[in-house]
Amino acid sequence: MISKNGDLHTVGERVMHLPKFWAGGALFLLAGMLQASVQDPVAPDTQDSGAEDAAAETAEAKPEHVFVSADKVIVRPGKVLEPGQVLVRDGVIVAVGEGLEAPEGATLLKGKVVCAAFLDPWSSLGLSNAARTDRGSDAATRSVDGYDPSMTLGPAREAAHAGVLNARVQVGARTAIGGLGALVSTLEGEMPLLADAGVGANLTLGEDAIERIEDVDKLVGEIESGLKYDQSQVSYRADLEAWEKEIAELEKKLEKDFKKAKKDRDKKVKEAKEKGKEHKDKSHKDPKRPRQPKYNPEDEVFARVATGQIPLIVHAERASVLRELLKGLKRFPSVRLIVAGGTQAMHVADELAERRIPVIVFPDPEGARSLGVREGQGLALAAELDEAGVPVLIGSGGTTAARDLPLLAALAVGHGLDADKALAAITSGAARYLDCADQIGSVQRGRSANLLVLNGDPLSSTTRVEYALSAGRVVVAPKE
Amino acid sequence: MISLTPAHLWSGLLAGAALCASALGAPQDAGFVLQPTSIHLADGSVLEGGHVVIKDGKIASVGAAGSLPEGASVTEVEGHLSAGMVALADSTGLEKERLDATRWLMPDAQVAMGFRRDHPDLARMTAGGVTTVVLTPGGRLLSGGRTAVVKPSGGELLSIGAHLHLNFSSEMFSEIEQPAQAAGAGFFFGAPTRYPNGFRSSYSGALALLEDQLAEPKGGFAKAVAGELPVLLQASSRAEIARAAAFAKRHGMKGAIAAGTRTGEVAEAVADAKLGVIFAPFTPGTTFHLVESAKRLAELGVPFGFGLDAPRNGPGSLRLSAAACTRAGLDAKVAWRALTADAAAIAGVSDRVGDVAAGLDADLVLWSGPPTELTSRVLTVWSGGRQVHSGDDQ
Repeated sequence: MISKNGDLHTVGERVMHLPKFWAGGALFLLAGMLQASVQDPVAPDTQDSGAEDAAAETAEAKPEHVFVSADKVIVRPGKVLEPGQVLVRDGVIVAVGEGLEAPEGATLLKGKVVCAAFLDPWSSLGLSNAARTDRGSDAATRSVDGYDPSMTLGPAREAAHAGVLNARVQVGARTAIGGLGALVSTLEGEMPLLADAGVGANLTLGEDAIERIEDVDKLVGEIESGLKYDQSQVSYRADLEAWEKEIAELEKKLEKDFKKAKKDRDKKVKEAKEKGKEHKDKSHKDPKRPRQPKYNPEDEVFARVATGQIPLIVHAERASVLRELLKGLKRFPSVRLIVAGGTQAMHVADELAERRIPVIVFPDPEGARSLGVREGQGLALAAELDEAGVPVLIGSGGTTAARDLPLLAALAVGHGLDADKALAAITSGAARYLDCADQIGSVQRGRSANLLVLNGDPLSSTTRVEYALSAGRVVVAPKE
Repeated sequence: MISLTPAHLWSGLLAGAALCASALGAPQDAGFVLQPTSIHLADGSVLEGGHVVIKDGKIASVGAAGSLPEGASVTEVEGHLSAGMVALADSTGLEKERLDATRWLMPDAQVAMGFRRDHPDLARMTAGGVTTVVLTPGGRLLSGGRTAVVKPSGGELLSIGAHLHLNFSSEMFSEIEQPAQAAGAGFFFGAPTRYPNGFRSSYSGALALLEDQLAEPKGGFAKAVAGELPVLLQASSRAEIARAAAFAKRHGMKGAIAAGTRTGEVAEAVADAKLGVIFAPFTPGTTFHLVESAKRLAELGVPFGFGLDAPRNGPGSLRLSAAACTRAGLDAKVAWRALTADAAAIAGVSDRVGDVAAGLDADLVLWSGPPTELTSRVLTVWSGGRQVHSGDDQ
């Protein structure tokens, strides 16, 4: 992904998106904003005096304020302020509370309900079909490189208007190991939040049970290989450190003994000369520098999976595959598995619950449309998994249907899932499992102001998005 | 349209059967009164604390709060009561009757002849709150004959000739690709299954054939022209929709268009021809053209409803369709009518179903919340006054 300013994001980089009018603008503004986000502690407290850090306000960099007041502010599902206000400064939520006052010059927004913007944890928005299904994908393939918002402009715009401002997208739909997913914005021209939002794998491709299990074995093998790679890197770093220390000590010793050694040598040279012989220096061997393990981009990625630095998102539907996968991953307790699909996940619900492995459910009302892997998946799956203690997320099934995410969550509620849990499944919960809860997913101090102003309950069929803010920028507003 | 004798016969038989059944156990015989938390009428109004008197499988009366008939046995039920939903365009239980690999013009065929009332998917519809379904012929026929209107619970035929199916969609000329048995429900809306023999004519030739049929003094076409039999026009592209609407207007036909995603862009032509519209059910991610079309039709006062296309789609897709529209700004009242009264009107069975009103069949659904909300679930379903589903196992 090339951002507006043309800079490329590398793996591991976290990107804070900027209001459009700043992109490419003065650097001090950027610095000011980042500073602000650092200064504001990321804390779940909702009471804030609203007092501003006046020091940050300079004549050159006057902060942009947006003040949102609503009858109800859903800080996160289950925590509600009625009424409540949200103050946004330079794209970041700086105060959430009751009885806050709008600072002078702030953009004022009013509405019934404020909640965090929706996040689709299982989407393919912005990926061309060719990129999504590229058979050359491997672990080191980055979805962010295949991300081209213009490929799905219509659905992406609709998604944004429906309040779905972020989505996790994944290439490699036709390969067992799909590479690094990306956490993107559904808005045109905005930078992705994460270029390494976990590694995706697809265990639904095998034509028969044997092939599917082979894919599980392959995946587990890759993780093992990643772990070995990591261990070799760790021991290399330790060896290197020890070597560097040894060398340093030798150098120190050499330095210290230099005068005496030189004197001794001069003496020996002289003696040799007197005897008509040639002086030979004692051969000296430095300790051998440890050899760096060979760089392997795929192992490099799986090393991060194996050590739990990034999650592993596996599309699997059948109980046999899930069972084998859970068995295979037992040896790697650090792996943070997320199951996507999980049609038959109820068969392994106890283990999923015990290991706190979430399932991204796609509540597809099409029922028995395709009698293959989705057979038997009911709209009640989300509720059943939740009942069994399995964390549940809701996604649009790797399609471009992000727009309908709140409706899918509503369908899950209609089939027994608790409404707060359904909302969390497309906001805070999704953000937490995708490692971006410090940026989005809740209306809390310190988070990026990705929030919605709605005219009703977030999951109601008649609710409309009146305003949507992305990093504090109003990106959806009523037409009038 | 229930002008045909066989329809009466079926209805009579089944109503009789229902009565017998009720006489055996439930208290329907003497009538009973349901008093739900609220009653959602087709016009969008809500009666809080009202009641419905049900007698002989029909709604005898609907009353406001505090007007309970004296001495009636009242069943208080917690939940929101509404009419059962009406799904337009489906083929459940039709088996092979929708398609004919050798004939493409069968204006007097009846899909009802192939209807299997014990088809297992029918129970699923009932459980989802769908109490009336329009069965349609296959989409690759120039005219597949007459549609039928049935109740998925019990299989009562409300009409065996609701519409005359006429095809204006160029998709009927598609190449041969898949064998006949692959032809399924998706046909009607142009799913990628292919008609085995192909319709060996040109589009103009097909139109000419339709015009030729109008000269027939008897049969489906004559009835359609005389205004006795509504038409169900099938059209996909904007041009086809406009052409179908113009055709219906020119020949004084009434009825509906099972139309494509961009109907809204030619909505005036549809309104001008006084036709209703049947949309394919929305699936997650359905193009916004459909949503926009529904909104445009609503602006022009054109009634519309949704097909179901089961088992490709579950009954939940009907309400998803409506919710997708309301979430995008369609009036919730219009959306609910599209699932009930307007759909019943398009199916030609407004005198039987589509609302909670005196004189209509007691086809009712009790929901856990407002029926338009996807967060609500079906609690109980009555068909013809008989409880046919309980629980939320849809």
